[in-house]
Amino acid sequence: MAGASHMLRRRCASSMANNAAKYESHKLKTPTTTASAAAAAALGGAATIPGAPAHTRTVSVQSGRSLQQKFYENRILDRYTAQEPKKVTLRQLVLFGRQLTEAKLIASANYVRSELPVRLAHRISDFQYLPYIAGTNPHLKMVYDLYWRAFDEFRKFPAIKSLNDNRRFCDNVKTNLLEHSQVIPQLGMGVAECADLVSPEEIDRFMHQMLVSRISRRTLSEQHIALSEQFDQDLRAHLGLTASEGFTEMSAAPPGFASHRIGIVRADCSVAQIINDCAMHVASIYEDAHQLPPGTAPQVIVEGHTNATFMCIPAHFSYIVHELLKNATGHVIARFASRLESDSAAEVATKPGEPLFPAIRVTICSSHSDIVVRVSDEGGGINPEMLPYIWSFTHPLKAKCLHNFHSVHRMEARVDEDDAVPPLMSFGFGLPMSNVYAKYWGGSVNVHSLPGYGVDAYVQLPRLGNVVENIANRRAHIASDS
Amino acid sequence: MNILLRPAHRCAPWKRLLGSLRKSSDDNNSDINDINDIIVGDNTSSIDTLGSPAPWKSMPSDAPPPLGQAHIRHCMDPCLASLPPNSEPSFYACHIDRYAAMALQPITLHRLLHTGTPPLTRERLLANAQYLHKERPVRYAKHVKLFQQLPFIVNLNPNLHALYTAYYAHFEELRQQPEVRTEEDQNAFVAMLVRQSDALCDIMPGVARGFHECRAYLGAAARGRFLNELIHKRIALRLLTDQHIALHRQLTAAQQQQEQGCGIAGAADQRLQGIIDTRLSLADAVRASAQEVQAACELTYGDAPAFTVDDHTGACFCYVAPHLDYVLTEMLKNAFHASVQSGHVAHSVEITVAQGAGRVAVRVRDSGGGIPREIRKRVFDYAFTTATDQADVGAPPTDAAFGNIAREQAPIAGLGFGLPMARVYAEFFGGSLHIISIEGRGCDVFLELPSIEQSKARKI
Repeated sequence: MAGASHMLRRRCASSMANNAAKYESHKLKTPTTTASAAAAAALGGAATIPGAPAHTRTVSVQSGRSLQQKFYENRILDRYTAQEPKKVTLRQLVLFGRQLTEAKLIASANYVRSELPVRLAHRISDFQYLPYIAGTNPHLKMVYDLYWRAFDEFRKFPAIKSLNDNRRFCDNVKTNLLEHSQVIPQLGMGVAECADLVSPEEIDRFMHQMLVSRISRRTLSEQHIALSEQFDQDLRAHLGLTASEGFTEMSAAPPGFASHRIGIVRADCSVAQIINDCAMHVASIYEDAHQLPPGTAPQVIVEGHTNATFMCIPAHFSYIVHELLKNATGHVIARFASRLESDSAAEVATKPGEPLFPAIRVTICSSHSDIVVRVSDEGGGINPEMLPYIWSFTHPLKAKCLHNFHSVHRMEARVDEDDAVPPLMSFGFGLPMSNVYAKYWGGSVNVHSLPGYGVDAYVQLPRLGNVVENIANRRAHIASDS
Repeated sequence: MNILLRPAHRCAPWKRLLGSLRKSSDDNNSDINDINDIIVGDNTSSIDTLGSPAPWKSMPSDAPPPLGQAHIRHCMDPCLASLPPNSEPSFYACHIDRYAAMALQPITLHRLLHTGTPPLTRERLLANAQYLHKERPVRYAKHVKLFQQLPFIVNLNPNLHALYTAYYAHFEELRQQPEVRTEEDQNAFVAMLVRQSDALCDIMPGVARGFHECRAYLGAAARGRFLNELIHKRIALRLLTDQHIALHRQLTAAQQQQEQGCGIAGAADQRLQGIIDTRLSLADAVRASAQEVQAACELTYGDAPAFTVDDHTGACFCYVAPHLDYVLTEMLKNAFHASVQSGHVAHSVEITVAQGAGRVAVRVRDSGGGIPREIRKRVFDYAFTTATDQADVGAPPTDAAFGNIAREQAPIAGLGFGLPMARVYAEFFGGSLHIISIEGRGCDVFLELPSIEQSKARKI
């Protein structure tokens, strides 16, 4: 079972240094060196490895001193992991922005400034409890180093006292968000390569916590940046300044000025609208991919409480719907692929005028406290072999997909991903990632497969935005002597 | 999907990893590996024994210190210059895994005796050298792998990391070693064994320090598991190494005697076979240890209880003397210490020696008041000590002199490693160490060891 990921490790090794891989297989047969080197070695002198350069199998760690530094400065981290993150609800975010004065904006800035290091610290600590060998994986190491740098930067950032300070802070945060957009692919590659070192449950739990925390930090950051920008915009308008006029000297707003925005949150997001937007996007992707005439991709019919609205962050909800529709559409097209060929139009069972593919039905149900969206397709169901592993971030059957991470450098897990990520490239992440987004706000995603027929996927999300963020502290490893 | 072909004994790797941390040792794997067995020598002829064997306590002065006598020697290893300092295996290099996956035969007294059974010949020693040549890299790889399972932050600790890289450096050196074929090779091989053994002879203080610094990151149970595993592996490695070195020196000495024309001493019995003393008198060992402990106790605390040794059987058996020495000293230290602390110095420490049913046993009974209920569970925890908790591990413990008496443990006295380590030593060949505490009265500590009679051993 772990043979595939072992294969992946070897493949990575060979992609890093071909010589080393060949030497590896040579070594499998005879552990001893060849006779020519034996003579030199017998004298007790320094032996050299014939063939591969030593650095591919041995890495020289930084000097002992910097190792010491890294270990002992961990005490700083311990101070932060001892703190609990201060969690918010959507409602609080919305209410906060409703009457946004300068003082409140600065308070928000300081909240973000102090929250980010605490949340980062908990996740850095999670890394530190992986087995040592997993921690030396270059991909995981890179994410670990990124997180350390961010942690260090934010904890040292001085308290924010003025609007100018806030603008500087927002710039820092934006740079940070950009730099961290490579985290998901790196994590993906890292856990794939570590699949035989850590149990699948551990990896899934680790990845889930990592990603939930990542969303939470990005949400806080993006919300604050949005509020700041909107505040600035409103301030300019209030002062009658045009967009191009800078006001770097304006470090304080006139007293009594307040803006009324809520950043990236929508208090009355229309469910049907988002579903329709996603459906159009998905249809266009598949039509491009399979060169179908427009309108022939599986149709998405939205039924139920089509007027339902709820409080959410649209980007998160869109991601989930988008992933589910992509899965549904993809499976439907794959199942009825024969209908794509125009030559076999005669064999197609549909009558003229009927759509080429069975439609995907999306049902919206709104109760007092929840929104449920059901996506039903006739795509033939999920392969029974894969069924136990659809929520897992790493599994040998997915190892092939995870390899695709090598081709993308940045991924933000958003619908409006830029061109760096081919929309149809499969990483095996869609469902687990949707699960992360849903669980973050106290919701859930469930999937039921009717073998041979199709799949029903259910998304349940709280409607009123009064559920607290669902992030976990670091795993308590020293608590019990178990 | 291609599934890599891999050796049949390898189960799902992550299960094995987790499992090996729970089991006390994976050396008990009795699969036959591809390492050849030792050639059985000819038992009938005798061997020259001049120059040795010394009684178990006074080894020849140039013999390597068996099993970690506590002189602190920090040897910088010149021949490891090929590897940059602090090198560790890269994530992608699978050679550690490959070696570590190989099964090993467990180390038993029988096996060790077998290597040293007279007559000792060059050919047998050569065969043993070749066997070690194949086995030692595997053992070192398993050491490295053990460290790799520690949480990341724990192995990052400089003390532990230094040991990790040291094991890896030795592993790499061994992999590049040529086969042992000639007498010269044999000498070079032994020289390398001595060098490697010395370089790692005194690792426990660093380990103790490292774990002390990591106490916030690793619980007592996980730490205990790791240390038990590490010490067990270390004992195994050193036994093999020291046995070979001792046999080599024995053979060399014997050959020198022969060349110089001294006749063959008609010693059909050779008491010392490498590091195993085949006629170890348990009572003598107990008396000697007790005397030392008593003297040290008096030195440290100004007073010491008397002791009695009750031995009706005259028990003699085959064992590795320094192991016995260490365990006895640990037991006695606790007994004497308790007696003095509780004020019952007038009551002597009663030591009883017994033998029967293939086992030998020692009971140490003190009147030191027993172990309070709440700490009874923790006496075998590493780094648990009833000495006052020191914030800075570097500070020498107050009873350092008392601790210095045992060769193994001078630098780590008072750090709470003595008793758990003694238990690992006791259990290594299938013995046991138990403590019964009678609160208000004292403790009975039972040590049981397997007993192979010398006559049986000769028949192998």
